[in-house]
Amino acid sequence: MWIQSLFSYFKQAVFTLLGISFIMFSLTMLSTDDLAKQLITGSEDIIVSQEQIDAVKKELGLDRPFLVQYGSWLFHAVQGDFGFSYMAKKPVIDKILECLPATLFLSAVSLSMMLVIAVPLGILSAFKSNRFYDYLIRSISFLGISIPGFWVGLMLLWFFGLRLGWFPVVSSTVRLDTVILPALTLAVNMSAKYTRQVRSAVLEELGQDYVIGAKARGMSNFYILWKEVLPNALLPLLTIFALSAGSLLGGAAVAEIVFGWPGLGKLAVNAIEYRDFQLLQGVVIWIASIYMLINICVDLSYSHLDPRLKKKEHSHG
Amino acid sequence: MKKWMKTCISALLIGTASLALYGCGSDSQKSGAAPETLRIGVTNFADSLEPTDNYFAWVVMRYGLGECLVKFDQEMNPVPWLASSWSIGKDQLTWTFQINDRAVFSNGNKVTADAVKSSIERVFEKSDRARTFFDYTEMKADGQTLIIKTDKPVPGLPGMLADPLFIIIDTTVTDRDYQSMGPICTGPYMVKSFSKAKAEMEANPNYWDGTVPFKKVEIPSIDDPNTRAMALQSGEVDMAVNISPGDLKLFTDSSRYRISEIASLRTVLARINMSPGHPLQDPKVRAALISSTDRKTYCENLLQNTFITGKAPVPPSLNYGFDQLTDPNNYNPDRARQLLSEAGWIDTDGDGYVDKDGKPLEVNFVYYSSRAELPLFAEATQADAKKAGIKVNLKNVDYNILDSMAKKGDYDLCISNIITANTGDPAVYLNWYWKTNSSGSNPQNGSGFSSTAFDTLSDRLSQEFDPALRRQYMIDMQQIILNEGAGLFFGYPKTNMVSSTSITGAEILPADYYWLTKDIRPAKS
Repeated sequence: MWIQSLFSYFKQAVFTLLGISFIMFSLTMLSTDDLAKQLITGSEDIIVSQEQIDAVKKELGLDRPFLVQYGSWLFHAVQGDFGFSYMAKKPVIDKILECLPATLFLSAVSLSMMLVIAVPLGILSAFKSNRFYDYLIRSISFLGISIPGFWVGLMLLWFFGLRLGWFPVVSSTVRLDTVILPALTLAVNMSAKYTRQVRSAVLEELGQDYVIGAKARGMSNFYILWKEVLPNALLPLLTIFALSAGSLLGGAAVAEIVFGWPGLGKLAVNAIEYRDFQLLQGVVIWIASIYMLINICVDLSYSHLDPRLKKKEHSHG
Repeated sequence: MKKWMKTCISALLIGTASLALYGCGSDSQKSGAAPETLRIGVTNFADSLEPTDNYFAWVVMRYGLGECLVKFDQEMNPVPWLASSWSIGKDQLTWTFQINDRAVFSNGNKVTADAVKSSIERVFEKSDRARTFFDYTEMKADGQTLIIKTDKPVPGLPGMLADPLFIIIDTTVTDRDYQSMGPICTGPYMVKSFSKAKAEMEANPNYWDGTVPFKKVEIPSIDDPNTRAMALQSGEVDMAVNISPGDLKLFTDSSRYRISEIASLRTVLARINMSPGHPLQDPKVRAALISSTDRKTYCENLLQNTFITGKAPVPPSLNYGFDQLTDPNNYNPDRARQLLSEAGWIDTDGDGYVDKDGKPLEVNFVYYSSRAELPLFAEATQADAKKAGIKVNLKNVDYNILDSMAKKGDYDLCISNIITANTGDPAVYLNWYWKTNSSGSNPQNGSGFSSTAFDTLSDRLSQEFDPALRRQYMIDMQQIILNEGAGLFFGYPKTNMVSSTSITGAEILPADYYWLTKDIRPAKS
């Protein structure tokens, strides 16, 4: 049964990736009236001769029919060769792998920060529902959702980097002290959303009969929270957490650019800027794959976390 | 309940405090760092230090690693660098370069004419771009003398060899990873480690041209201009290249910072299509449109003095007669209206726009927005032209699409921000945009502009070696463009380098590849 589900997820993933890669390839080629020139000059407006442009087109196979180009790309991609980045003069896969550790590190730290901030605040907000602390936390989370990420980043830089001097302003080297501010920037916005989700999930569980029963039996709030409420509230929270993780692993472009963090988000923006379509294609496939992988993991974990779902699957099966 | 709340709050506080303490205790690279280390905040586009790939050679030079035979001075005149002198033979095809006898590579090998020859040959072998500068029929090395023969006269060859593509490297070293360590060059610094995000350089112990002031140089790439400014304010970097105009006022305290600012080699201009059937074919309408634009206000107010007001095709950073050129179409809205009236364009229906034979005067202005100033110039032109009665329709397109539209002549006005002289003189730029395009002979000129006088000067220029005469030809060519109203020159962007007063010698030059030089030194040394 478990293997059947996995196989079904795998089939879906393959078709989705094929669709994404085709759409991506078409869009890239549609917007490239003179892709070769951009590849030569990057963001510089330098006069380029037609001969140079033709040479690059030939070198990259841009003079071939669209479907031939896509087919060729796909043939190599399934063998793990995502092409050559013209911007970096390196294989695409090498460039992605170069940026991946920084992205994984930033994602892990910011997700941890998000949990440390959002879970206690969400629970507190639920327990103090419609009282001062709840209003305060909800207002702050509303603010956190509304403020754009780049502004939060710049303010954190200004305050903690420039005024207090606690953290370095430049985060171009991947270290524990350089990751804190970019991770916090991402965590602020995610925590704001997550706090509200934690609050509503916990609040819903607190109104259930089993909680009232537990209270009547004289159990402590701490016991009810950890042993009864949180396990039941975990399922909806897991989905949001997985989506956040997926989005972070695809790169957090704004924070990465503000802090100079060498991750996948910045790489994707550079690839767009330089019209490095093979690199862009590789990054998009990575993002799509990681999203799907995380979703599959979450779906599979549902039945493990909630035995009722497993039972339902069995009865349908 | 209260107990677990207290536990959570305490954990949060302890966590935050630990992070803060960690930050304080870490190597945050403040200004108190060892004085033998220089830190520079830049933006870096290169993933590799192989000089023949893309424009990566610019970074090899910017980071103080590579040097050429020739360099440009503050007015973009070619001056000796690894070559101590050069001359052209009577046949106007044979160039002789004398290589500086003192020059050595960072590995201690002498820079001989043979080494230079082999380095230039490697560039031609590996880069398609080399032949767009010049082509040679023969190259000979004898001791410190290098002879380059070309198949046709190339008056600007020394300037072309100043392009970073022609950085001189030791080709005898073959077991080196050029991508991550760069080639063996002759500059004051060598690569210790390199990635796109950060480079670490160390002093070249064999530097041939004086002492190297810093033992170590760290160059983080900081793409966001606000962050770059904050890094300089916090002391994490000692100098930064291209601080955004809005942030420059943070560095006006001359006891702490020094700003070096100049007009760059760039011109922001709108090409004007004067082909038959286009409204700007009429010289009076062209003159009216140019006269209606208040370019001084655009540059000084709208763009907060980050641009020098435009007048001529070539910016004032180059010594090509900017001050002596006269623009017959200076800002004068009354004259603009008068010219339109003389050309038969009058507002008969009272809608604010002039018309003739029942048709309003409409002009299509094509622009791209990846450079922030271009939409502003376009919108300002639209507003000013409206005051004169000309309707300007703005069309925002991708840069690549704009380029092909420009070649096809699918515009009335087409804006660009262009480097005018990356080989030292603006001959290529003037020819490509304004030399007659006869049956595709000059595809970059899609404007329909054709002037016999201009073409004659251009032909003379291609054969002329005398710098004074070449300069005069290019001044005359510019004056023809101005008289014909064959371009709307908005302005010239400024470029800057801001440094802490703890160092000296950080000077920005018009050529955008002399950043880390031997002249940048600690202030107290």
